Amino acid sequence: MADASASRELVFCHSCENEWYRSEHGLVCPECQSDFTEIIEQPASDPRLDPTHLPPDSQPQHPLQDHNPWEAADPEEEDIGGFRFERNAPGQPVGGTYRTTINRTVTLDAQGRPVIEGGEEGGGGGIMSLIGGALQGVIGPAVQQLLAQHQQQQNQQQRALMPGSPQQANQQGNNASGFTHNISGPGYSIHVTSSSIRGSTSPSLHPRDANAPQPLNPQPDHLQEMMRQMFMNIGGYPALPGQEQRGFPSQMGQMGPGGFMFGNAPPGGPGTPQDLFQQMMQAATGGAHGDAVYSQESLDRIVTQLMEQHSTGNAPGPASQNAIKSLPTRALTEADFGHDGKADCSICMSEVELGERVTELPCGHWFHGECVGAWLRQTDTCPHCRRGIVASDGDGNEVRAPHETPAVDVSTGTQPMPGQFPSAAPSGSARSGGVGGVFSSMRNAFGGGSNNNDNGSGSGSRS
Amino acid sequence: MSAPLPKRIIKETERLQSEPVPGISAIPHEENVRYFDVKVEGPGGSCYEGGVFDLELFLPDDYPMCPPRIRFLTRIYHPNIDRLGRICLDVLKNNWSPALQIRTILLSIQALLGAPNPEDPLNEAVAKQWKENQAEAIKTAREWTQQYAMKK
Repeated sequence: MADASASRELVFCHSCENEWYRSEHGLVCPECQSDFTEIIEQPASDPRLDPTHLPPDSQPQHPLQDHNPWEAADPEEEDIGGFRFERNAPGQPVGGTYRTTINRTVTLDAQGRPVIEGGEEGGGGGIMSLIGGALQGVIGPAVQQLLAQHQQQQNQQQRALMPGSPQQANQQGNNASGFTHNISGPGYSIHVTSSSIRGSTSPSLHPRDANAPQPLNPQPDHLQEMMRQMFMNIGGYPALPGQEQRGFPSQMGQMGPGGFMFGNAPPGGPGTPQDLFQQMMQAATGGAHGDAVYSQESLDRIVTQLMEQHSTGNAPGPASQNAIKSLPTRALTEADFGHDGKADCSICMSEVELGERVTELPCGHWFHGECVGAWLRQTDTCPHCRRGIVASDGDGNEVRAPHETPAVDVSTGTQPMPGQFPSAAPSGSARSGGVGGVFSSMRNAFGGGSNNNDNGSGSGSRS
Repeated sequence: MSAPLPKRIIKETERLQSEPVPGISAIPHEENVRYFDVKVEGPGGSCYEGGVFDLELFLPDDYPMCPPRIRFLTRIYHPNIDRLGRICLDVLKNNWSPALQIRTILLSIQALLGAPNPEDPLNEAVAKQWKENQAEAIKTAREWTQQYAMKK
């Protein structure tokens, strides 16, 4: 600034881009008589270099068409670059301070009112305005004016030098707690919102503190509402979040203690990011919620669920209440007790006494009436020999008498071993020599439901 | 919600301690007696011989009207056991009977180790290998046993 211009103030007309020295023509443009002029003090704030200062005849162009964000002369650059997050020092309350600047460009219509991008001011606006509104809604309550003060100081000079008309354009969604700065002229308007967020004072936004664990805050309602409206605008999202069916039922997680769950219970309530993601996918595919999975864990969960759902899939259905009621009861005799004089109900494993009344199934096996009733109401099979209590076996299975082998699987004719695969035993035995011992030990452990002694109670009582 | 502990579970637990099954142990957790730490030895002569496999076993509230839930914790190469340790065994599902017990189920699982059944696979990849190249599959099973089921 050592040249002559330093001593003489250069004035720039925003309307016709004319330039002159103040000492020669004053502050009103000698060309167009506009008073929308500015004294150019330093190159950094030279409005001639600001691409948003456009002459009226180039209105159709996008105001940021020639914008170069790296251009040192951009007067807004300082504000844009001002985004930073300061975490609170250890010992201070959890949280921190965000400092950021949101810049927004709005064009004016003929009446001088701001035109919302997307053009449908009344109809809820486009996605962009939704985002903008929601962002302000989210940020608004927490906004403080720290940065605003800083920026005001910086801008005051600039504003003072624009005697013309920095006219206020009232914007929807403008929050009083945020600092806004509107500059407008013929054919353009600049709307600057500067805000600082203090995380520790915000009810919903919660900057992470890497030094300490924090509770998981729910997503801001505004954000979710915004997403919902976005999807509604797209046209594929019918219901409010929370009304739609949840994903896989949480019964998978009922397994019990430490880590024994086969699957994870679905996360949190509506509004989690995963929820939103699923809704997005649903909107995109048009499928029912839960139709698709996106991770191996989810697939595993489904498979486990199916396995458990089908756990009794092939099993016979329940016996009729009448059939259960009409089962005969009898008193236990000495023949029902083993060599050691003991016997028990193999369902509850309680010892029984001589003369105690028990319920006898058609196959001859006996149990406590209450115990076997509970089982038969679920599955119509004898717990020992798997024969049903309904006389005519509709499946064509051979009805076995109690003195016959209580085969687990009739088709193979192998020993009654619980858990044996029908076709596994022969090949398995052939391959591995030691299996026979296992099988026989299993037979011993299982005890067998009946034998020549016709000890119906079977397992456990003689081992 | 937890059902009162049936006498049967107490009895079974006692009997598992007093008359242990060779090669099998099941020890209930102190804080939850329905949850068992299970160890099953690989059956002799099988490709799992020498290995000791950890399982977890849980008795649901309606046990013994429904089967216990069991899962391998130790990795094992077996056509009927998947990589999460879930077991494809009929008595754990539709062939469950209340006359079965923890010990009989664990014996069934031990027997399953001795008699893999690739025709009813839970782990398709292993079952395919088992059918197409049994020698190789058994070799892999031995290696896995060595790697995961043996104390070093």
